[in-house]
Amino acid sequence: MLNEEKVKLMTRMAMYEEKQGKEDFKISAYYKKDYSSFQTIITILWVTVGYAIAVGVGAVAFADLLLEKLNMAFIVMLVFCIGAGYIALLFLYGIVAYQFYQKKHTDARTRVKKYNHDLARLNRMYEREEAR
Amino acid sequence: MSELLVLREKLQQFYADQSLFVNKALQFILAFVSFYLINDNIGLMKAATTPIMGLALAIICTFLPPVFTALAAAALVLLHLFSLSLGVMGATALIFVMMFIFYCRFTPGKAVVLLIMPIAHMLHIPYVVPVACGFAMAPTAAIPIAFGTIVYYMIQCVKESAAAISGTDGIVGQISLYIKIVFQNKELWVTVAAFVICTLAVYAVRRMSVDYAWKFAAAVGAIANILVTVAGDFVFDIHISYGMLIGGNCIAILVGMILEFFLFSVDYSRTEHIQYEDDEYYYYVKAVPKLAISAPKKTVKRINERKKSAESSKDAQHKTVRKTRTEGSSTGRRPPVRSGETRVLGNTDELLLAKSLQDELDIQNILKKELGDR
Repeated sequence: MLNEEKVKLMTRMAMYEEKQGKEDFKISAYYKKDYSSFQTIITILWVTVGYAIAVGVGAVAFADLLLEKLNMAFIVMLVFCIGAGYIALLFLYGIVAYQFYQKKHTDARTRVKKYNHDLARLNRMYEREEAR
Repeated sequence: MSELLVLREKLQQFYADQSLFVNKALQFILAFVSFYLINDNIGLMKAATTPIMGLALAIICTFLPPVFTALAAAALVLLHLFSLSLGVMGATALIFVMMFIFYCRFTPGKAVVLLIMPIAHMLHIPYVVPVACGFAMAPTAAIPIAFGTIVYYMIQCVKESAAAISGTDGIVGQISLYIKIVFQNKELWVTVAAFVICTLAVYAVRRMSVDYAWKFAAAVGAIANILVTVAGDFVFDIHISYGMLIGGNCIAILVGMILEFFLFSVDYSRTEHIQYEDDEYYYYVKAVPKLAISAPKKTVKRINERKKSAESSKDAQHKTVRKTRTEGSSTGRRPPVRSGETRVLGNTDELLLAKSLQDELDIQNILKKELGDR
């Protein structure tokens, strides 16, 4: 006979596996600190690329103004500003990304734990059915 | 007010029942409107501007996650720009990559805001989006709002200066002209600053524990928007339409009120202030009750079975009456009815039954006979 409880459990588990499960299993394979650090490094690399694009676009957009004021003092100040902006952005995104990925890992672990709990429950159901 | 609350409950119930279809319908509308507006504004590649193309693309996007709608819209923009200039397309693609790096990497699901912002600009209701995002999202929503505004001004630049760009010699010259027109536009930076400040102001005020915080937030957001834009107009001389600015912000306040009704409907007149302490802290708690009303449910009592029996024969009628009585007396229970309607429904059942029997079965004669026998 059809076990309604088992069907519900299996449906919930299958839905989880299809949706969030794939990513969650990958995330939970790491330790929290490892995962957060790894993702933060990747974010820093991406932010470097993004900042380079932004500076490039800015240089093209304001080329006329830059060329008008071109002297050594201005160049030094400009390079300093670009460097300071880069470091500030790096800190901001580094901190935000670390927090973000830590939370992501915690949430993923919680969902995987729930999934494992459901799996154990399903296993017990099968054992009970076999014992009958 | 109670009718509105009932309407809200009904809408929420409808959404809970049909969320899949409602979400997909909204996604389709968003995709179709986006593609239509892109084709309408920068339809440089004629093959991609046909309505069938937009419709087909919208249908495909409906069955994919929302982020694909944003990606498809970006691809469509790049496709049109390719017709204008390879260099302009490359520069725009780089700017899109930058937007992806700074925002979409973290929350790809919310990339839709990037799409909504240019659409709102094209529909002349851009002031609504910062207020709505300040209400419904985190302050990080300011990032896609700023990027969405930049995307709109890029599209505007192509729309207004396509001839000038394509007339320039060399790819480098075209890129340079395009980037200069977009990013040296002071109106763009003033609008970005106004929208970012508006979003942050709305978010900050609506999180405060003052009464009517959401109403204040909508008003503060609109005022911040107007003040920053007017200040930008005076400083940079950008000629912004004040009628549209004030009208748009009035609409934004109205939308804010509607959002408040759906997301944060509370009764401030019944606010309770509680103070207590434990070993480590003093607590000053303010509890504001939510406004809620349950939508009335219609119950339909079917009495057709007896109607059928009435049509058969008089003997059968007699049996039916007997049977009904026997059942009632043997179980000694009434059928279960919903709470809150118990007494009324119970009586209604009997009244309906008696009336239908009186009308259709001519029961009075039978009752008289039976009473006469006794």
